[in-house]
Amino acid sequence: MSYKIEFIAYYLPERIIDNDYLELESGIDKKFTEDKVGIAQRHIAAENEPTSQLAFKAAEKLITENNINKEDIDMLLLCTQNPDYKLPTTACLVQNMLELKTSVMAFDINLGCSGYVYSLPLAGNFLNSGKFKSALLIMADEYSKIINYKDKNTASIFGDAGSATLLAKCEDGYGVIDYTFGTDGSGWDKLIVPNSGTMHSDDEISELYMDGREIFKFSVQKVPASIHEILEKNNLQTSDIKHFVMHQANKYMLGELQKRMKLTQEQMIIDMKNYGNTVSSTIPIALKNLIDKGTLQKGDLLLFTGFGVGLSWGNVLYRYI
Amino acid sequence: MKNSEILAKLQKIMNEINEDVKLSDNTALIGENLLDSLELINYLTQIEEIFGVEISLEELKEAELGLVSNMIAYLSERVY
Repeated sequence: MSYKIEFIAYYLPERIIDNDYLELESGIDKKFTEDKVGIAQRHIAAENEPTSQLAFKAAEKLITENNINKEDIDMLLLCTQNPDYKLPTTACLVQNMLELKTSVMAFDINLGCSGYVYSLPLAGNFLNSGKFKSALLIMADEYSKIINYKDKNTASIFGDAGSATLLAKCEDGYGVIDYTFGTDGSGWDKLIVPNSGTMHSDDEISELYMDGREIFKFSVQKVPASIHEILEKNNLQTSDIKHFVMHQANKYMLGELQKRMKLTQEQMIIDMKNYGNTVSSTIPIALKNLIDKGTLQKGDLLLFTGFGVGLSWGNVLYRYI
Repeated sequence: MKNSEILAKLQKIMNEINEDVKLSDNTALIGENLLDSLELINYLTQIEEIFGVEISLEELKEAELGLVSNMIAYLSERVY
């Protein structure tokens, strides 16, 4: 038995911050942001629009558009680093909003850009246990609530979004066929909200800090090595993969990864221009847009790669069905 | 390693990043804004990988490694 991505939907908040605004407000060069970072605009949640709302709207869209029977959803896994509250979990709030059955297993996981590639096998293995029929994976994050829009390192990159994926069983040899994970906690302070959690002090500002150079170095060194590892494990070459759907960190970084791994432009999916880096939602958003193009054929191999805060990374090898 | 060999390696790295930038001893990558921030990060990352060194932000500033002659001097002390 295996498991596959049955449906994906995503929700983007209405408010948009474009590069004109950032140039005016923060002096961030508009041309650089669009040409090199690869982002023209990012959606930002409203003040009164918490993470649970992004999660709920994405899941509601998924359920409505695909006529999903809520009774079939046995698991709700919600990945966020900006929950509505420290407790309870945002998954509990969303279970209530969606009116899912009370026997559903609902919980949050705290991961950033590797969230989707961790969530797929995590939920999928419960499906493989035979006890669950389908699982709802929600990625939702609001980095806008922790960004200082004067900080040139982070202001232009991140956008808010929610995405929902329904995972269901499928025939063997299709869907998720392998996965790998990685963690290097020695880089815990390279992407961090230092003044937060039990380390929070009222005397200091609570905002995102990113060591761009270290994150770049980690990404261009660790990602190719981890991809080669999973491909080798499965006796595959990069040329066997139709598309690499990687975390959409920024265009320049993906370009560098493409160069280092000698991938073709067609193989490397770059899809962040209108959303920015939406953290754990970048892969499902890019994947949904790719599927909607209608060019994927049954049997095509895809590789999903997430990497970032933690430092944490992972790969999912997927045979399209 | 000879200074000319280091310069040749730096130019090879640069060709991959921004082929319009031609390096000489007097090239000031940071002062003359020849590279944007992402290209500069990439340049430093590749220098670290190829020469097997780690360049801290402090060293970058204090030794003014944006100037190619300074970078060559810095590397020649560490690479044999």
